[in-house]
Amino acid sequence: MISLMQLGGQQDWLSWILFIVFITILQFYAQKFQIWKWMNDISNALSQLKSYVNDASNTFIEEASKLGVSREEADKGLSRLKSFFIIEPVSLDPNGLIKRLEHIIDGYLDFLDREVSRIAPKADENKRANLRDQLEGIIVLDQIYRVVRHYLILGKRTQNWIYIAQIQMMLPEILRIAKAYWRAGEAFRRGLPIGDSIGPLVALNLIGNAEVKEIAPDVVGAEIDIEGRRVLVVKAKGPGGNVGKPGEAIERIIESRNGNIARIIMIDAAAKLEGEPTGEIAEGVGAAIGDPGPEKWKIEQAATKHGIPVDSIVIKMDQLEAITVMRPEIAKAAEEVVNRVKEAIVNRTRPGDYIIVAGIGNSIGVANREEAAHLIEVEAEGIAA
Amino acid sequence: MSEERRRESYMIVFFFIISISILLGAVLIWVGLQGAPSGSINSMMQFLFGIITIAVAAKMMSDLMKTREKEKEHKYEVVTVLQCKNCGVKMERPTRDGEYVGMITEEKCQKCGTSSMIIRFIYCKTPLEQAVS
Repeated sequence: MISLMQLGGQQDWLSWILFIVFITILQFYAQKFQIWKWMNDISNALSQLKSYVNDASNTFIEEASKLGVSREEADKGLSRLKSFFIIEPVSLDPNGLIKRLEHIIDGYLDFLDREVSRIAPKADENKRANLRDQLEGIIVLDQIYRVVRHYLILGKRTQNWIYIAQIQMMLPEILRIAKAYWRAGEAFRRGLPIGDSIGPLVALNLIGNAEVKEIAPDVVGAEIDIEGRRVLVVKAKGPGGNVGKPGEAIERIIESRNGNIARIIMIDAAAKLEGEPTGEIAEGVGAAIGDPGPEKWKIEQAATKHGIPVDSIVIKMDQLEAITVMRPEIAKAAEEVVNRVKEAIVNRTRPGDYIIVAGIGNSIGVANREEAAHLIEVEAEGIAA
Repeated sequence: MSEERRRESYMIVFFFIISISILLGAVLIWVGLQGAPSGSINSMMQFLFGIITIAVAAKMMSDLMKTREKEKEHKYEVVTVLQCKNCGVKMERPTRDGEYVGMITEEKCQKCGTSSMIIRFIYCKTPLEQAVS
């Protein structure tokens, strides 16, 4: 301490040399220090991502092993599925692209269903759907982990700081998304409604205890009366995690009635812009459905062919709120949306008209009606006649 | 050693380094100020190094606090809102496994005593930023 205090005076030259040496080292190694710090940040984030993947996997294995297979078999099955991928159809030739895309999506869902049935043979329909959603979450989490690890190793190997810098700067958002998927796993395990379930929730509130029937794969519908109008309310089959094929259901109903539909009203969750409040309701026109394309295409095709107006009501939410357990602001918006749907029907249609109301989204944690209902499989003609 | 204990040990070491840095910074500032009347450039440098040392230590302390805050697991509170089929009164309680919206339960209404309540909502009360931070 004393020598430190005596740095002044006769030892001026020593402190100046130390200062110059320090500046020189910084000149050459500042960037190295910066990269080292960034790589350290990424390594820490990678450990965090790995823990999310492991935790989500363990939860899945635990759930699956209660339903007919040993932990080892469930683990083996999951490991095989983690790197699952989809190859999109070629778009150089757009002819029939939607049909080809639908074919691939059907194959994807069929593959996952079969694998989940194999891993958890004793799971009932709802549990199987929830496990499938849980599995999809793990696949996404694992993919995020692999991409971050790829850039870290690539950056280390090539000493290219651009790789390191870009991943480090995106880390907060990457971790936020990963944690949302990890949280989503909990929602799917327990079968709780997520933000995206708002469409089916509104549909349930409209259906009440009316009788429901299955009108397309994993889509149910119930006919209700609103001020003298016949309204067919459509939603994905719940309370398991299904999105179903609402486009196909709507197309079938339209065709079965030869286009005699006064209006289609769609309700769905929509991504909010930063600054917009969660649960804000907005109205517009067009098919509100966030599928990769085929379901929206079917609705647009059928509606255009018969000149049926399509109205939409969306509930705004953050993309992460859409995949995690529903927030109170979103749940409470359901009552307001039900009122808006009724208003729209009364103001835009006449008594005796036939209207389709579709609650789009994942039906996890949302029943088909207000009582345990026994689903009867019927053709679309049966319900719409 | 478990991951948690190792992290805790790192925290203690960091806290020690930060404390020493603050002390060193304070000493440098004091020495710098002592020599200030002489007007030597060395005193100015000591004062400057003292300020830089304390600034770096403060930044490290702030990062350390942020890390500790992030590591704190926020309670993830999911609740079920039930409504009496008879009198319409609503009640809220923690969600149980296997419940879903639209399910009719045999729970008793606290107001009218009817054993028929419908689950109206299930939602998470933990703010999103806490749930995903």
